[in-house]
Amino acid sequence: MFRNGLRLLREPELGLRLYKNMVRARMFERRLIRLAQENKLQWPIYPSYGQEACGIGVSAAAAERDLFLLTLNYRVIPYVVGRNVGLQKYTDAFFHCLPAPDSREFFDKGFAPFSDSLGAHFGLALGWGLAFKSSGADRVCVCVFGDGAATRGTFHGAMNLSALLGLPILWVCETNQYSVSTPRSLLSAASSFADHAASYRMRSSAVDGNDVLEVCRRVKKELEAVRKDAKPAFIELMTYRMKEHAFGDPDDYRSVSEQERWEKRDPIGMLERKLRALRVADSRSLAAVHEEAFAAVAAII
Amino acid sequence: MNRSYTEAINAALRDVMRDDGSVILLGEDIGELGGRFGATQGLLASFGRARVVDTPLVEDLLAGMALGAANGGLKPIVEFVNADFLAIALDDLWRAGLWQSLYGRDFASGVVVRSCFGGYAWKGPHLSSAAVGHLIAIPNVKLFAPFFPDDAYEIVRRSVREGGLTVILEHRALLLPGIPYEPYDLGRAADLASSHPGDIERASVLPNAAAGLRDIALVSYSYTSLVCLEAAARLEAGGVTTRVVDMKAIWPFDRETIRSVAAESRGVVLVEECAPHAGLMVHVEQDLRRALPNIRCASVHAKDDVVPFGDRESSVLPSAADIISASRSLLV
Repeated sequence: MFRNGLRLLREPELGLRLYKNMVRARMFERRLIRLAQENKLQWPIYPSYGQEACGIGVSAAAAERDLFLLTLNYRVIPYVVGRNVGLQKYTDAFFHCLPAPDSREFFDKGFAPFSDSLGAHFGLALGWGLAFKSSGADRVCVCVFGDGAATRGTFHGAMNLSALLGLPILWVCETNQYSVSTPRSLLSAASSFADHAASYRMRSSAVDGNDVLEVCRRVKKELEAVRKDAKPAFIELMTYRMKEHAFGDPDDYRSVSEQERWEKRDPIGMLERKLRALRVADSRSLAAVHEEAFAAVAAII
Repeated sequence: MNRSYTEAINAALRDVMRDDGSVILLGEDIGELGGRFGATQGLLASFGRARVVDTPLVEDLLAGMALGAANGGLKPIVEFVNADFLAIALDDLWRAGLWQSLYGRDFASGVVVRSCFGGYAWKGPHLSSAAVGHLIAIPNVKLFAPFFPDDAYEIVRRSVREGGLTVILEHRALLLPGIPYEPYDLGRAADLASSHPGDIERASVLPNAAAGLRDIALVSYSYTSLVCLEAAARLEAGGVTTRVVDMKAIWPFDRETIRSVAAESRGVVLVEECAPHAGLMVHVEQDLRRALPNIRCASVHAKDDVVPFGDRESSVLPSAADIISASRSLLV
């Protein structure tokens, strides 16, 4: 039996929704890359290909009232899709060189302003946490970053302060194994970023970031704990960036065998195998999902 | 001057916190200790730990934290003990300023930063910086360096009310009054007061006398306004008529008042306690020369050198004697 297999049988619509969203995110991004190849975009693209389970899973686990803090345009598309932002709004920003994706649309869906330099939002998350705590709002600030940003000094200051002040923050680290070209092994002497957070005495764990059902389940659990204990928690999603850092960047710093190993763990493929095995979906219904996503993306661009 | 500089700021913080429950304080040692210079004394007892948030040494997070809190609906006032270390926060301050333009429509982003700066207090090369050049480059920043306690009071209160990114520079020698080595006598300013205490953007003209041509206008801000008052008194004693302009809002600065005082003076001396390239008087001078092409204008700056420890700092920082000689050179 698969991990989360029973859950999938009990809640087939959840599995199908997560699948649909991952496919949609990938197709949307693929379309944007095509446009970038044609030199039609004003913005750089940082592909999230291979990491879709993180954004889609975390988004599905969070409540609508929760607040998402991300870094401008860095692998945010799964979150954009997961939080159901109109993709046309996002596309407009790419085409028209706006200073930011159309603000209101994003903010209405529970996004904070996107921070720019990586890890700059650690401090911002503390502030939002403070605001939620002081107003007594039952909201959690979900702060998303990668293993590159986690090597910033401010990471430690923020983990420490969030625990000291008991702030309602869920720290989500998408460990995608690379900081631009620098592999995880050269980034940190520690064996895990989750270990750092644990040393500040908060709930901290790592999870398979390519298993969207597991991401969703575990993040939901952590969010419940943050709400109940009025304390921060940390979750590390172990995943892999299958494409280059930014569209157009060289990508010759990793081995083909490594890439092939992770391709077998492609989040969409992993879920698809489960859906088929448990007969939650068949070839026909899965093809329909792809066609629907293709049509949705084609309609906006 | 009825209350000290520190008392004025303390009163402003207390009043603004009492009037508005969303105001919070962030900073190092602002709780039990009441701030390194005493500005937050008693506030923890009055408002509690939820609103007086003592932090570890996180200058690299404080302003970002304030911006997030402001986005989330609070009104944060951050104390950076020493402006010498504000550079650590420049990334966040830049963002706070930029975001007024990017997201100001949708999110409140009022961040008030208070920080102690300047020399004349024998603190040596590490804790005497008065450089403001890097701060005026921050997008949308409002920068204040009040001299009069009543101005400091108003500036703190109004900045919180009005929102936006505000940096208030409080002078080290004003926060530590009565230090035995203080070279200039604050008592000299005791009979004077801001000419427009309610209008924080407007420079004060001292003495607040009727219009009319004077020989020299001395333009400065913060503690060097006191140095200018000393120089003005000595110039007056020598038969040179003067006016002193205390800018208080230093970026953006009050062009109108400075221009109009300059237009009624035979010469203008601009005074600040940092090297020319590290300050803002070059911009004041540029504005004056554009508005008044025939103006006679000089500036007095600190030497482009580190501030030494102890009384040797006078070899670098501007003195009344420097101002007097610059003034006289304009009148020959």
